[in-house]
Amino acid sequence: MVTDETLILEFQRGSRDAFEELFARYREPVHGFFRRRLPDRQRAEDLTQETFLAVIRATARYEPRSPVRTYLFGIAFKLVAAERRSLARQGPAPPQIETPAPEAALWVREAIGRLDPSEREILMLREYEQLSYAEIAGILRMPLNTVRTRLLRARLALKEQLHATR
Amino acid sequence: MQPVNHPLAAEELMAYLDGELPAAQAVDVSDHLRQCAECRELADGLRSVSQALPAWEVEGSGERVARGVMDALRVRPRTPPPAALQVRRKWFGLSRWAWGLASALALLLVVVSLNRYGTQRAMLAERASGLGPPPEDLAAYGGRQFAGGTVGGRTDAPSAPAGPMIARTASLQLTTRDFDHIRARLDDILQRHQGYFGELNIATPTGAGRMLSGRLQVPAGQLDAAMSEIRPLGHVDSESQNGEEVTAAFTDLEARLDNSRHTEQRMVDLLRERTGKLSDVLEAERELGRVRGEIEQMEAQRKGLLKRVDYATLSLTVNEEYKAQLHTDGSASTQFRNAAVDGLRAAEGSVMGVGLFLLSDGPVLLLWAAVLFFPARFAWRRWHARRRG
Repeated sequence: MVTDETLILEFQRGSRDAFEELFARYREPVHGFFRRRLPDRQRAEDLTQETFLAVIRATARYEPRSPVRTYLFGIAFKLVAAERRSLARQGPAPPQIETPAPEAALWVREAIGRLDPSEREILMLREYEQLSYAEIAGILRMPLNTVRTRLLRARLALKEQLHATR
Repeated sequence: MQPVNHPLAAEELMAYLDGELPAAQAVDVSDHLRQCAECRELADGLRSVSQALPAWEVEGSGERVARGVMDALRVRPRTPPPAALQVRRKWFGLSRWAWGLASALALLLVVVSLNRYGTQRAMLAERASGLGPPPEDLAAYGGRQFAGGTVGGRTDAPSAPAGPMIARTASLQLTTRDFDHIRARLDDILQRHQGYFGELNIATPTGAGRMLSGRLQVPAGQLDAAMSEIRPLGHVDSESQNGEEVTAAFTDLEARLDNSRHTEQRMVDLLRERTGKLSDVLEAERELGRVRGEIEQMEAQRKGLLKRVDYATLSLTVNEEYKAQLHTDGSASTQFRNAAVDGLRAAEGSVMGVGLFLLSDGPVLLLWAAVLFFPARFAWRRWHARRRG
């Protein structure tokens, strides 16, 4: 299988097929990233689109120094941070009509929602985006050991909640 | 969470489960897990969390995402990025190393330049203050020793000096509260040390303390004693001493003077003993007059040199400690005018000062700012990132 890095370099040289392949690989993970972090489904889709548009615009400046996955989620993380700032300025949002979810999914969502924000972000990047500790440290610009410590703390907190419900 | 006797931290156990440990370390953790029930329990707990989290699934993205992205892709030109961008990228790609090297070189340059700059400044300051390398022992040169007599009992035609001839100069700046009696005290000190005022000025400026400046001539051997009595008259703001050896100049002058005297004597003898044409006699007398003029000039130089050696020169400045006076004289308009003029002068001086500073030091500051900008930005970002972390 062609690696992500090869695909983006081919796209730099003008291959649209390469980008389409890349988009197919990451469309859902990137959308999931936004969807789990934002209450509004439309905004999640908008920002997913914006992430790939940013990749298209910035292709000329891409350097294969880090994996494409980290590059993509780095862009996504900046977009979600900007969105959160914007939401914070606008004040409390009206309640969203959520699609019905299984009980387990609700439990997970609520348990994660109760975590400390910095620990929650690390946990989600690890568990849902499957990023390595080093990649998380790079995106969040924090030391590796801090990532490990906070990730452990988040997991232990979830473990406690899991035991309490059983 | 981590029991005291466990050889591994809980973070290590978690990293093992996440596949984040190096192989060797992972083997150790695996071995430990087989033996330690407590760690196995922790591992199971962490695994259970990771297994529970995928239950939160999200719906797929709508078609409009794909449509928007593909539309943007279609309008994007197929051509690769312009060469200029590639060159820029490559240049920046190299920049991490290049900037690292440049930063090190720049720092080295700064250190070397500052060192040289400091040395030059010190040398210039030394020259400006008139302080050359200090004499080995100025006090030892306090009195000039001649074969024919000492300074005090100097003969009019001393022979060559037996020791070095030092022309001593000193400067002293004082600030005193008791300015009214300063003149009388200085007179007293000079009288006791057989000295005199070579020059004396007293200024009484408006809006500032009075100032006495003068050149005191004191026998060289008495200079230290006189200065030690003058210092307590006020607070010493600055003091310096200098000794110039004039032995060679004096010896040279003496030799030339001897030669000229011999020439004068021979010409006198010639005029007395020989007869000749009137024009020759007149020519000889003119030459005799020229030689005598030279002799007188050299004798004046000799006297001046001897005086410089015999009498040390002390440049003294005494400032009065200024106490602001309540001025009631002068009309209000005059005072306002004066204040306005002073203000304008101060503003002009300030602008001139800033302008001169920018012109004289601006290019150097700009140069170093340009050189150090990128390393500083790099360091700032690193620090900022750590702080955020």
